[in-house]
Amino acid sequence: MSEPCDLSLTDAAAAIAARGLTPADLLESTLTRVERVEPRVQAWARLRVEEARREARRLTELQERGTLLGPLHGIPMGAKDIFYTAGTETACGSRIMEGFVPAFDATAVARLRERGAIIIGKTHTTEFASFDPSPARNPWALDHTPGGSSSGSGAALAARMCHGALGSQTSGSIVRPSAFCGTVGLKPTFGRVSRHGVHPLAWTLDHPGPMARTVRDVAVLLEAIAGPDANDPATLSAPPPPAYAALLDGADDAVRGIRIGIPDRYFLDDVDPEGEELYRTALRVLETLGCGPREIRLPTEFEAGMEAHEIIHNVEAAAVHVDRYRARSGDYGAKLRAIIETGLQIPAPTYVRAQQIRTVVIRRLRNLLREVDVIATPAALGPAPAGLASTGSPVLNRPFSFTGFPSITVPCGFTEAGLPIGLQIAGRPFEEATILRVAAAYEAATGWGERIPSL
Amino acid sequence: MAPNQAAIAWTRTLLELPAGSGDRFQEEWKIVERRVDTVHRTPVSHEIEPAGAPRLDVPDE
Repeated sequence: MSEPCDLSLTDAAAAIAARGLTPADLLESTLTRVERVEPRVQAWARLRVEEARREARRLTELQERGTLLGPLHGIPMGAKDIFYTAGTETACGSRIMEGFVPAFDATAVARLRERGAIIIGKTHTTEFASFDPSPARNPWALDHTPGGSSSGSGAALAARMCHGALGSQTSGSIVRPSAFCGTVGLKPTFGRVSRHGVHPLAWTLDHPGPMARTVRDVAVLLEAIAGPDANDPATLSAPPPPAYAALLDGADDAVRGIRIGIPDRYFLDDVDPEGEELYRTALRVLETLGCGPREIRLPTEFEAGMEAHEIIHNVEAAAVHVDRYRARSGDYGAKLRAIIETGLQIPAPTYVRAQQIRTVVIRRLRNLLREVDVIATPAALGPAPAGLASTGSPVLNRPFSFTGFPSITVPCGFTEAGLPIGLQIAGRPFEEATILRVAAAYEAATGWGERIPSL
Repeated sequence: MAPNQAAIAWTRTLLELPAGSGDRFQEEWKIVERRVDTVHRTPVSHEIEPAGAPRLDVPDE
Protein backbone atom coordinates (compact mmCIF):
# COMPACT_ATOMS: atom_id res chain seq x y z
CA MET A 1 0.00 0.00 0.00
CA SER A 2 1.23 3.47 -0.83
CA GLU A 3 2.56 5.48 2.11
CA PRO A 4 3.04 9.27 2.35
CA CYS A 5 6.77 8.75 1.86
CA ASP A 6 6.00 7.30 -1.60
CA LEU A 7 4.31 10.51 -2.76
CA SER A 8 6.21 12.77 -5.11
CA LEU A 9 7.37 16.05 -3.62
CA THR A 10 4.68 17.89 -5.61
CA ASP A 11 1.90 15.55 -4.46
CA ALA A 12 3.06 15.67 -0.84
CA ALA A 13 3.18 19.47 -0.94
CA ALA A 14 -0.30 19.58 -2.47
CA ALA A 15 -1.65 17.24 0.23
CA ILE A 16 -0.16 19.43 2.94
CA ALA A 17 -1.56 22.57 1.32
CA ALA A 18 -5.01 20.94 1.19
CA ARG A 19 -4.64 19.82 4.84
CA GLY A 20 -4.97 16.21 3.77
CA LEU A 21 -1.58 15.44 5.28
CA THR A 22 0.39 17.03 8.11
CA PRO A 23 4.14 17.68 8.08
CA ALA A 24 4.39 15.57 11.23
CA ASP A 25 2.70 12.56 9.59
CA LEU A 26 4.76 12.91 6.42
CA LEU A 27 7.95 13.04 8.46
CA GLU A 28 7.01 9.97 10.51
CA SER A 29 6.24 8.03 7.35
CA THR A 30 9.62 9.06 5.96
CA LEU A 31 11.49 8.19 9.16
CA THR A 32 9.81 4.79 9.29
CA ARG A 33 11.03 4.18 5.75
CA VAL A 34 14.52 5.34 6.72
CA GLU A 35 14.54 2.98 9.69
CA ARG A 36 13.58 0.09 7.44
CA VAL A 37 15.93 0.55 4.49
CA GLU A 38 18.83 2.77 5.60
CA PRO A 39 20.84 -0.06 7.21
CA ARG A 40 21.13 -1.60 3.73
CA VAL A 41 21.33 1.55 1.55
CA GLN A 42 23.57 3.71 3.79
CA ALA A 43 22.62 6.96 2.07
CA TRP A 44 22.97 9.20 5.13
CA ALA A 45 26.11 10.55 6.71
CA ARG A 46 23.97 11.74 9.63
CA LEU A 47 20.29 12.18 10.38
CA ARG A 48 18.67 15.03 12.33
CA VAL A 49 15.77 12.99 13.68
CA GLU A 50 14.92 14.96 16.81
CA GLU A 51 15.51 18.36 15.20
CA ALA A 52 13.38 17.30 12.22
CA ARG A 53 10.56 16.20 14.54
CA ARG A 54 10.66 19.56 16.31
CA GLU A 55 10.52 21.39 12.99
CA ALA A 56 7.68 19.16 11.77
CA ARG A 57 5.64 19.89 14.92
CA ARG A 58 6.14 23.63 14.41
CA LEU A 59 5.20 23.37 10.73
CA THR A 60 2.14 21.30 11.62
CA GLU A 61 1.01 23.98 14.08
CA LEU A 62 1.45 26.62 11.41
CA GLN A 63 -0.52 24.49 8.96
CA GLU A 64 -3.35 24.16 11.48
CA ARG A 65 -3.46 27.95 11.73
CA GLY A 66 -3.64 28.21 7.95
CA THR A 67 -0.07 29.42 7.45
CA LEU A 68 2.26 27.77 4.95
CA LEU A 69 5.86 28.99 4.80
CA GLY A 70 6.06 28.22 1.10
CA PRO A 71 5.77 25.50 -1.53
CA LEU A 72 8.02 23.15 0.46
CA HIS A 73 6.12 23.40 3.74
CA GLY A 74 6.88 20.22 5.69
CA ILE A 75 8.75 18.43 2.89
CA PRO A 76 11.52 16.09 4.16
CA MET A 77 14.76 16.68 2.27
CA GLY A 78 18.41 15.71 2.26
CA ALA A 79 21.46 17.88 1.69
CA LYS A 80 24.73 16.50 0.37
CA ASP A 81 27.29 16.66 3.14
CA ILE A 82 29.33 19.42 1.49
CA PHE A 83 26.44 21.90 1.96
CA TYR A 84 26.88 23.86 5.18
CA THR A 85 24.07 23.37 7.68
CA ALA A 86 24.03 25.66 10.71
CA GLY A 87 24.44 23.63 13.87
CA THR A 88 24.79 20.29 12.05
CA GLU A 89 28.13 18.67 11.31
CA THR A 90 29.29 18.99 7.72
CA ALA A 91 32.14 16.53 7.27
CA CYS A 92 32.38 16.46 3.44
CA GLY A 93 32.99 12.70 3.52
CA SER A 94 36.42 13.42 4.98
CA ARG A 95 38.28 12.63 8.18
CA ILE A 96 39.75 16.12 7.96
CA MET A 97 36.36 17.80 8.35
CA GLU A 98 35.08 15.52 11.13
CA GLY A 99 33.48 17.62 13.84
CA PHE A 100 33.14 20.74 11.68
CA VAL A 101 29.83 22.41 12.55
CA PRO A 102 29.10 25.44 10.37
CA ALA A 103 27.65 28.56 11.92
CA PHE A 104 25.49 29.27 8.90
CA ASP A 105 23.47 27.53 6.21
CA ALA A 106 24.57 27.36 2.59
CA THR A 107 22.40 29.73 0.58
CA ALA A 108 20.62 26.81 -1.12
CA VAL A 109 19.88 25.18 2.26
CA ALA A 110 18.66 28.47 3.71
CA ARG A 111 16.32 29.01 0.76
CA LEU A 112 14.83 25.53 1.15
CA ARG A 113 14.24 26.13 4.86
CA GLU A 114 12.71 29.55 4.26
CA ARG A 115 10.18 27.82 2.02
CA GLY A 116 9.31 25.25 4.68
CA ALA A 117 11.53 22.29 3.87
CA ILE A 118 12.78 20.05 6.68
CA ILE A 119 16.40 18.98 6.23
CA ILE A 120 16.23 15.51 7.77
CA GLY A 121 19.90 14.80 7.32
CA LYS A 122 23.13 15.05 5.39
CA THR A 123 23.57 12.63 2.53
CA HIS A 124 26.80 10.80 1.87
CA THR A 125 29.28 12.33 -0.54
CA THR A 126 32.49 10.98 -1.94
CA GLU A 127 35.46 12.55 -0.16
CA PHE A 128 35.21 16.31 -0.73
CA ALA A 129 32.88 15.55 -3.69
CA SER A 130 35.79 13.96 -5.56
CA PHE A 131 36.19 10.26 -6.44
CA ASP A 132 37.00 8.34 -3.22
CA PRO A 133 33.67 6.56 -2.59
CA SER A 134 31.29 6.77 0.36
CA PRO A 135 29.52 3.75 1.92
CA ALA A 136 26.29 4.53 -0.01
CA ARG A 137 24.82 1.73 -2.10
CA ASN A 138 22.53 1.62 -5.09
CA PRO A 139 18.94 0.81 -4.03
CA TRP A 140 18.38 -1.06 -7.31
CA ALA A 141 21.28 -3.43 -6.61
CA LEU A 142 23.03 -3.07 -3.29
CA ASP A 143 26.33 -4.39 -4.61
CA HIS A 144 26.46 -1.61 -7.22
CA THR A 145 27.58 1.98 -6.80
CA PRO A 146 24.89 4.67 -6.65
CA GLY A 147 27.33 6.88 -8.56
CA GLY A 148 28.96 9.97 -7.21
CA SER A 149 29.75 12.34 -5.89
CA SER A 150 26.16 13.07 -4.77
CA SER A 151 25.90 9.37 -3.91
CA GLY A 152 23.67 9.55 -0.86
CA SER A 153 21.28 12.06 -2.43
CA GLY A 154 20.62 9.74 -5.38
CA ALA A 155 20.35 6.65 -3.19
CA ALA A 156 18.08 8.30 -0.59
CA LEU A 157 15.68 9.53 -3.28
CA ALA A 158 15.47 6.18 -5.06
CA ALA A 159 14.89 4.43 -1.72
CA ARG A 160 12.04 6.86 -0.85
CA MET A 161 13.91 8.21 2.18
CA CYS A 162 13.31 11.86 1.22
CA HIS A 163 11.32 13.81 -1.36
CA GLY A 164 14.11 16.02 -2.67
CA ALA A 165 17.80 16.55 -2.15
CA LEU A 166 20.65 18.91 -2.88
CA GLY A 167 23.58 17.72 -4.94
CA SER A 168 26.52 19.33 -6.65
CA GLN A 169 28.36 18.66 -9.90
CA THR A 170 31.94 19.48 -10.89
CA SER A 171 32.21 16.80 -13.59
CA GLY A 172 29.16 14.52 -13.44
CA SER A 173 28.11 14.43 -9.80
CA ILE A 174 24.41 15.29 -10.09
CA VAL A 175 23.49 13.71 -13.40
CA ARG A 176 25.44 10.46 -13.00
CA PRO A 177 24.10 9.37 -9.57
CA SER A 178 20.61 10.44 -10.61
CA ALA A 179 20.86 8.26 -13.73
CA PHE A 180 22.32 5.30 -11.83
CA CYS A 181 19.57 5.54 -9.20
CA GLY A 182 16.64 6.02 -11.60
CA THR A 183 15.84 9.53 -10.38
CA VAL A 184 15.90 13.03 -11.86
CA GLY A 185 18.79 15.45 -11.37
CA LEU A 186 19.36 18.89 -12.83
CA LYS A 187 22.72 20.58 -13.10
CA PRO A 188 21.84 24.26 -13.49
CA THR A 189 23.71 26.81 -15.56
CA PHE A 190 26.84 28.09 -13.80
CA GLY A 191 25.65 31.10 -11.81
CA ARG A 192 22.02 29.98 -11.57
CA VAL A 193 22.35 28.54 -8.05
CA SER A 194 24.63 30.04 -5.40
CA ARG A 195 27.76 28.15 -4.36
CA HIS A 196 27.92 30.04 -1.07
CA GLY A 197 28.37 27.61 1.81
CA VAL A 198 29.09 24.67 -0.46
CA HIS A 199 32.57 23.30 0.16
CA PRO A 200 34.45 23.81 -3.13
CA LEU A 201 36.05 21.08 -5.20
CA ALA A 202 37.02 23.32 -8.14
CA TRP A 203 35.59 26.84 -7.95
CA THR A 204 35.01 27.50 -11.65
CA LEU A 205 33.45 24.08 -12.29
CA ASP A 206 31.24 23.60 -9.22
CA HIS A 207 27.46 23.64 -9.74
CA PRO A 208 24.99 23.08 -6.87
CA GLY A 209 21.63 21.76 -8.02
CA PRO A 210 18.41 19.91 -7.23
CA MET A 211 17.72 16.18 -7.27
CA ALA A 212 14.27 14.58 -6.91
CA ARG A 213 12.05 11.77 -8.18
CA THR A 214 10.16 13.63 -10.91
CA VAL A 215 10.90 16.44 -13.34
CA ARG A 216 8.26 18.67 -11.79
CA ASP A 217 9.75 18.11 -8.33
CA VAL A 218 13.14 19.19 -9.64
CA ALA A 219 11.53 22.29 -11.17
CA VAL A 220 9.96 23.18 -7.82
CA LEU A 221 13.30 22.81 -6.07
CA LEU A 222 15.20 24.78 -8.69
CA GLU A 223 12.69 27.58 -8.35
CA ALA A 224 13.31 27.59 -4.60
CA ILE A 225 17.10 27.74 -4.70
CA ALA A 226 17.85 29.71 -7.90
CA GLY A 227 18.54 33.40 -8.14
CA PRO A 228 21.04 36.08 -7.21
CA ASP A 229 23.04 35.86 -4.00
CA ALA A 230 25.41 38.62 -2.95
CA ASN A 231 27.69 35.96 -1.49
CA ASP A 232 28.25 34.32 -4.89
CA PRO A 233 29.22 36.86 -7.56
CA ALA A 234 28.60 34.32 -10.33
CA THR A 235 24.87 34.59 -9.63
CA LEU A 236 24.67 38.38 -9.85
CA SER A 237 24.79 38.81 -13.60
CA ALA A 238 22.42 35.90 -14.34
CA PRO A 239 18.96 36.73 -15.69
CA PRO A 240 16.20 36.34 -13.09
CA PRO A 241 14.92 32.76 -12.87
CA PRO A 242 11.37 32.17 -14.13
CA ALA A 243 8.67 30.19 -12.31
CA TYR A 244 9.95 26.84 -13.56
CA ALA A 245 7.15 24.63 -12.26
CA ALA A 246 4.40 26.83 -13.73
CA LEU A 247 6.10 26.65 -17.11
CA LEU A 248 5.45 22.91 -17.09
CA ASP A 249 1.69 23.52 -16.93
CA GLY A 250 1.47 24.20 -20.67
CA ALA A 251 -0.39 22.27 -23.33
CA ASP A 252 0.34 18.62 -24.07
CA ASP A 253 2.16 19.57 -27.25
CA ALA A 254 4.56 21.90 -25.40
CA VAL A 255 7.61 20.31 -26.99
CA ARG A 256 6.28 20.12 -30.55
CA GLY A 257 8.85 21.61 -32.88
CA ILE A 258 11.73 21.45 -30.38
CA ARG A 259 14.91 20.67 -32.28
CA ILE A 260 16.95 17.92 -30.63
CA GLY A 261 20.67 17.86 -31.39
CA ILE A 262 22.29 14.43 -31.67
CA PRO A 263 26.09 14.78 -31.40
CA ASP A 264 28.06 13.22 -34.23
CA ARG A 265 30.64 11.63 -31.91
CA TYR A 266 32.02 11.32 -28.35
CA PHE A 267 28.74 10.69 -26.54
CA LEU A 268 28.25 7.16 -27.88
CA ASP A 269 31.91 6.17 -28.20
CA ASP A 270 32.02 3.93 -25.11
CA VAL A 271 28.35 3.48 -24.28
CA ASP A 272 27.33 -0.13 -23.65
CA PRO A 273 24.89 -1.72 -26.15
CA GLU A 274 21.92 -1.85 -23.79
CA GLY A 275 22.39 1.81 -22.89
CA GLU A 276 22.68 2.80 -26.54
CA GLU A 277 19.54 0.88 -27.47
CA LEU A 278 17.54 2.59 -24.70
CA TYR A 279 18.93 5.97 -25.78
CA ARG A 280 17.86 5.40 -29.39
CA THR A 281 14.43 4.30 -28.23
CA ALA A 282 14.18 7.50 -26.16
CA LEU A 283 14.97 9.58 -29.25
CA ARG A 284 12.16 7.84 -31.11
CA VAL A 285 9.78 8.69 -28.25
CA LEU A 286 10.83 12.34 -28.45
CA GLU A 287 10.15 12.24 -32.17
CA THR A 288 6.62 10.95 -31.56
CA LEU A 289 6.12 13.93 -29.24
CA GLY A 290 6.84 16.28 -32.11
CA CYS A 291 10.53 16.94 -31.47
CA GLY A 292 12.85 16.97 -34.44
CA PRO A 293 16.11 15.09 -33.88
CA ARG A 294 19.00 16.13 -36.13
CA GLU A 295 22.70 15.42 -36.10
CA ILE A 296 25.02 18.16 -34.90
CA ARG A 297 28.75 18.31 -35.49
CA LEU A 298 30.70 18.92 -32.30
CA PRO A 299 33.49 21.51 -32.60
CA THR A 300 36.99 20.27 -33.42
CA GLU A 301 38.21 21.59 -30.06
CA PHE A 302 35.66 19.50 -28.14
CA GLU A 303 37.94 16.63 -27.09
CA ALA A 304 40.74 19.02 -26.16
CA GLY A 305 38.15 20.78 -24.03
CA MET A 306 37.55 17.60 -22.08
CA GLU A 307 41.28 17.34 -21.35
CA ALA A 308 41.28 21.04 -20.41
CA HIS A 309 38.46 20.32 -17.96
CA GLU A 310 40.64 17.82 -16.15
CA ILE A 311 43.57 20.23 -16.02
CA ILE A 312 41.34 22.93 -14.48
CA HIS A 313 39.80 20.37 -12.11
CA ASN A 314 43.14 19.12 -10.79
CA VAL A 315 44.74 22.55 -10.44
CA GLU A 316 41.77 24.12 -8.66
CA ALA A 317 41.32 21.10 -6.38
CA ALA A 318 45.02 21.29 -5.51
CA ALA A 319 44.65 24.98 -4.71
CA VAL A 320 41.59 24.30 -2.53
CA HIS A 321 43.41 21.65 -0.51
CA VAL A 322 47.09 22.59 -0.45
CA ASP A 323 47.12 24.05 3.07
CA ARG A 324 45.34 21.08 4.62
CA TYR A 325 47.35 18.67 2.51
CA ARG A 326 50.58 20.08 3.91
CA ALA A 327 49.50 19.06 7.40
CA ARG A 328 47.35 15.99 6.85
CA SER A 329 48.13 14.33 3.52
CA GLY A 330 47.72 10.90 5.10
CA ASP A 331 44.07 11.62 5.87
CA TYR A 332 43.18 12.00 2.19
CA GLY A 333 41.95 9.12 0.03
CA ALA A 334 44.18 7.84 -2.77
CA LYS A 335 42.11 9.32 -5.61
CA LEU A 336 42.01 12.84 -4.22
CA ARG A 337 45.69 12.63 -3.27
CA ALA A 338 46.54 11.84 -6.88
CA ILE A 339 44.45 14.81 -8.05
CA ILE A 340 46.12 17.15 -5.56
CA GLU A 341 49.66 15.96 -6.18
CA THR A 342 49.38 16.14 -9.96
CA GLY A 343 47.44 19.39 -9.78
CA LEU A 344 50.25 21.00 -7.80
CA GLN A 345 52.71 20.24 -10.58
CA ILE A 346 50.72 21.41 -13.60
CA PRO A 347 52.36 24.58 -14.98
CA ALA A 348 50.38 27.79 -14.54
CA PRO A 349 50.36 28.61 -18.30
CA THR A 350 48.76 25.21 -18.91
CA TYR A 351 45.94 26.09 -16.54
CA VAL A 352 45.38 29.45 -18.25
CA ARG A 353 45.43 27.86 -21.67
CA ALA A 354 42.90 25.28 -20.49
CA GLN A 355 40.64 28.18 -19.48
CA GLN A 356 41.15 29.72 -22.94
CA ILE A 357 40.09 26.45 -24.58
CA ARG A 358 37.07 26.57 -22.33
CA THR A 359 36.14 29.97 -23.77
CA VAL A 360 36.48 28.55 -27.29
CA VAL A 361 34.32 25.49 -26.58
CA ILE A 362 31.67 27.62 -24.85
CA ARG A 363 31.44 29.84 -27.95
CA ARG A 364 31.28 26.89 -30.33
CA LEU A 365 28.66 25.07 -28.30
CA ARG A 366 26.58 28.22 -28.03
CA ASN A 367 26.70 28.50 -31.82
CA LEU A 368 25.61 24.87 -32.12
CA LEU A 369 22.67 25.60 -29.86
CA ARG A 370 21.41 28.08 -32.42
CA GLU A 371 20.89 25.17 -34.84
CA VAL A 372 19.06 23.13 -32.21
CA ASP A 373 17.20 23.85 -28.98
CA VAL A 374 18.63 21.07 -26.83
CA ILE A 375 21.19 18.27 -27.05
CA ALA A 376 20.17 14.72 -26.07
CA THR A 377 22.71 12.08 -25.08
CA PRO A 378 22.95 9.07 -22.79
CA ALA A 379 23.44 10.20 -19.19
CA ALA A 380 26.16 7.62 -18.51
CA LEU A 381 28.18 4.96 -20.29
CA GLY A 382 25.73 2.34 -19.04
CA PRO A 383 24.01 1.31 -15.81
CA ALA A 384 25.64 1.67 -12.39
CA PRO A 385 28.81 -0.44 -12.41
CA ALA A 386 29.11 -3.38 -10.02
CA GLY A 387 31.13 -2.83 -6.86
CA LEU A 388 31.57 0.13 -4.55
CA ALA A 389 35.20 1.01 -5.20
CA SER A 390 34.39 3.27 -8.16
CA THR A 391 31.47 5.65 -8.68
CA GLY A 392 31.53 5.27 -12.47
CA SER A 393 32.60 7.63 -15.22
CA PRO A 394 31.47 11.25 -15.59
CA VAL A 395 32.69 11.64 -19.17
CA LEU A 396 29.23 12.18 -20.67
CA ASN A 397 28.30 14.86 -18.11
CA ARG A 398 31.65 16.68 -18.10
CA PRO A 399 31.01 18.70 -21.29
CA PHE A 400 28.18 20.59 -19.60
CA SER A 401 30.11 21.15 -16.37
CA PHE A 402 33.01 22.45 -18.45
CA THR A 403 30.85 24.85 -20.44
CA GLY A 404 28.47 25.64 -17.58
CA PHE A 405 25.42 24.87 -19.73
CA PRO A 406 22.40 23.30 -17.96
CA SER A 407 21.70 19.56 -18.17
CA ILE A 408 19.17 17.16 -16.72
CA THR A 409 18.72 13.41 -16.58
CA VAL A 410 15.40 11.58 -16.65
CA PRO A 411 14.97 7.78 -16.44
CA CYS A 412 14.66 6.21 -19.92
CA GLY A 413 14.48 2.52 -19.16
CA PHE A 414 16.00 -0.43 -17.37
CA THR A 415 18.58 -3.03 -18.34
CA GLU A 416 17.80 -6.75 -18.39
CA ALA A 417 19.36 -6.87 -14.92
CA GLY A 418 16.88 -4.26 -13.68
CA LEU A 419 19.24 -1.30 -13.42
CA PRO A 420 18.00 2.16 -14.49
CA ILE A 421 19.39 4.13 -17.42
CA GLY A 422 19.12 7.90 -17.86
CA LEU A 423 18.60 10.24 -20.79
CA GLN A 424 20.65 13.45 -20.55
CA ILE A 425 19.22 16.64 -22.05
CA ALA A 426 21.36 19.79 -22.17
CA GLY A 427 20.42 23.28 -23.26
CA ARG A 428 21.44 26.89 -23.70
CA PRO A 429 22.76 28.90 -20.75
CA PHE A 430 19.96 29.91 -18.38
CA GLU A 431 17.37 28.02 -20.42
CA GLU A 432 16.66 25.41 -17.77
CA ALA A 433 12.98 25.83 -18.60
CA THR A 434 13.49 24.27 -22.03
CA ILE A 435 15.30 21.16 -20.80
CA LEU A 436 12.71 20.78 -18.04
CA ARG A 437 9.91 20.92 -20.62
CA VAL A 438 11.51 18.27 -22.82
CA ALA A 439 12.30 16.05 -19.83
CA ALA A 440 8.76 16.44 -18.46
CA ALA A 441 7.18 15.56 -21.79
CA TYR A 442 9.40 12.50 -22.10
CA GLU A 443 8.67 11.46 -18.51
CA ALA A 444 4.91 11.82 -19.04
CA ALA A 445 5.07 9.75 -22.21
CA THR A 446 7.05 6.89 -20.68
CA GLY A 447 6.73 6.82 -16.88
CA TRP A 448 10.00 5.01 -16.25
CA GLY A 449 10.51 6.97 -13.02
CA GLU A 450 7.46 5.40 -11.43
CA ARG A 451 9.24 2.12 -10.73
CA ILE A 452 10.35 1.60 -7.14
CA PRO A 453 13.32 -0.57 -6.11
CA SER A 454 12.27 -3.65 -4.15
CA LEU A 455 14.29 -3.12 -1.01
CA MET B 1 58.48 11.64 -20.68
CA ALA B 2 59.17 11.14 -16.96
CA PRO B 3 58.08 13.83 -14.49
CA ASN B 4 60.75 16.46 -13.91
CA GLN B 5 62.15 15.46 -10.51
CA ALA B 6 63.93 18.77 -10.02
CA ALA B 7 60.71 20.70 -10.59
CA ILE B 8 58.80 18.38 -8.26
CA ALA B 9 61.40 18.80 -5.54
CA TRP B 10 61.35 22.58 -5.98
CA THR B 11 57.55 22.72 -5.67
CA ARG B 12 57.71 20.43 -2.64
CA THR B 13 60.17 22.71 -0.91
CA LEU B 14 58.44 25.92 -1.94
CA LEU B 15 54.99 24.81 -0.74
CA GLU B 16 56.35 22.80 2.20
CA LEU B 17 54.62 19.68 0.97
CA PRO B 18 54.93 16.29 2.67
CA ALA B 19 57.92 14.09 1.86
CA GLY B 20 57.28 12.01 -1.22
CA SER B 21 54.64 14.40 -2.53
CA GLY B 22 54.81 14.44 -6.31
CA ASP B 23 56.79 11.18 -6.48
CA ARG B 24 53.72 8.96 -6.36
CA PHE B 25 50.90 8.17 -8.79
CA GLN B 26 53.00 7.28 -11.82
CA GLU B 27 49.95 6.12 -13.82
CA GLU B 28 48.08 9.36 -13.11
CA TRP B 29 51.13 11.33 -14.20
CA LYS B 30 51.03 9.68 -17.62
CA ILE B 31 47.43 10.81 -18.04
CA VAL B 32 48.19 14.34 -16.85
CA GLU B 33 51.15 14.51 -19.22
CA ARG B 34 48.88 13.62 -22.14
CA ARG B 35 46.41 16.29 -21.06
CA VAL B 36 49.05 18.98 -20.75
CA ASP B 37 50.32 18.04 -24.18
CA THR B 38 46.82 18.19 -25.70
CA VAL B 39 46.11 21.58 -24.15
CA HIS B 40 49.31 23.06 -25.57
CA ARG B 41 48.87 21.50 -29.01
CA THR B 42 45.40 23.02 -29.39
CA PRO B 43 45.72 26.29 -31.28
CA VAL B 44 44.34 29.22 -29.30
CA SER B 45 44.65 32.87 -30.25
CA HIS B 46 46.15 35.17 -27.63
CA GLU B 47 43.02 37.27 -28.11
CA ILE B 48 40.91 34.54 -26.52
CA GLU B 49 40.36 35.54 -22.93
CA PRO B 50 40.48 32.67 -20.42
CA ALA B 51 37.20 31.69 -18.80
CA GLY B 52 37.10 32.70 -15.17
CA ALA B 53 37.95 36.37 -15.77
CA PRO B 54 37.49 38.67 -12.76
CA ARG B 55 33.99 39.76 -11.84
CA LEU B 56 33.80 43.42 -11.01
CA ASP B 57 30.28 43.32 -9.63
CA VAL B 58 31.45 41.76 -6.37
CA PRO B 59 29.84 43.49 -3.39
CA ASP B 60 32.00 45.16 -0.73
CA GLU B 61 32.98 42.98 2.18
